[in-house]
Amino acid sequence: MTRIVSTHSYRGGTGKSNTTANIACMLALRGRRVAIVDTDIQSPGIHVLFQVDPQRLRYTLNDYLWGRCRVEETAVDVSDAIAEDGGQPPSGAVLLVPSSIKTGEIARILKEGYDVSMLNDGFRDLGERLALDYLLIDTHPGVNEETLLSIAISDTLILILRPDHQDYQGTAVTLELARRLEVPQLLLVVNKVLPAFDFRQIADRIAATYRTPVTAVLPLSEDMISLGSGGLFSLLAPTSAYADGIRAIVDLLELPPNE
Amino acid sequence: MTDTADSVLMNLRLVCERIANGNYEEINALFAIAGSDTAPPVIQQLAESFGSMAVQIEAREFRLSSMLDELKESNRQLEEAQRRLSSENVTLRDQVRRLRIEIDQSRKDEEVTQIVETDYFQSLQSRAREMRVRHRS
Repeated sequence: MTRIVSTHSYRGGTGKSNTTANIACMLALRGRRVAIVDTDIQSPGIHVLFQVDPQRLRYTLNDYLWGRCRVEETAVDVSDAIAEDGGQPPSGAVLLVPSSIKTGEIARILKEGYDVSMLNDGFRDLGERLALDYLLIDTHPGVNEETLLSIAISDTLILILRPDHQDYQGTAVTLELARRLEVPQLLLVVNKVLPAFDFRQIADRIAATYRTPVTAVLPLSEDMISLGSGGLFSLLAPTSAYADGIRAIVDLLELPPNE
Repeated sequence: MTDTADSVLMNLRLVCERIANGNYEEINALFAIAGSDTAPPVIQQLAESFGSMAVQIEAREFRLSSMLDELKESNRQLEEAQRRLSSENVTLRDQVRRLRIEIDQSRKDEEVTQIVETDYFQSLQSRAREMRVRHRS
């Protein structure tokens, strides 16, 4: 049985893709088979972290949605990137289903749309046919039909927010929708927090406001900024506070979702 | 040869005038008159008294000007500290603002209602429920 985990944030720039990629790698290092689907079709980006060039791939998620291929044909094994950044090959694997970065194809999918139920079938088939332990869905920020679908079918929803007024408001909306869709496990992750802040206090306040546990408070680190999208920070700096936070998230993902 | 009282007095007057203009190096000239064997004793005594007065004034002035320098320096330090404090205040205010978690409940409810009332959401909700029941069994 594949566990479906969606990562979502109400606004862009919260570090959603970065967090998703780091979670995937840590799961793979613990021996899990993981796939990441980049459903941020309008502005794909997670491929960069794994040094994948979607232009050189035969198929992307777009091709599957247009009926040009089977969903498992879009997956590319990126486990090598883990060995490169972490020094050791994972006992599990990370597969990536990227979205097309061709402007014409992005424009076409925005203009014509696609059958959202195909995405649902795609997620299910991907899990079965690739024998996945985890399917991570990197969603588009905000609320639309695709993100609602991703949230609805998830066993776990990770909501990422920054300590910022607009993020607080938007997260309240998404959280309410996720509760109504009866997602079994809801996790809040506060990202890009200035190291000068009291992390414990932030976690407590946010948990109390949303009545939802804060799984991790991840620092905004200069090292990470200078790394940019050039690699996987939790692997490059395994003793950092950031890596500790990712570990805390992964620990919870390894528990049954109702606990 | 003895200097006339007039010429010594004239000299004393000139020296005192220069000292009055702030030329403290002339104090030595006063003491020269005080120690001169040829000057009348009363003028020697006058020169001696003027000399010690001038020395005290010079010393007091020196002390005052160094006190003034110290005051200027502490003022500069105070201004610097105040600048630092006010910039720290701005940072702290910003932190407190970020820590305050305000959610506009009525706006949130409005947004949620708009989404929840759509046909898409309703059908998604029931399909998700069915799916979870199926998975549990």
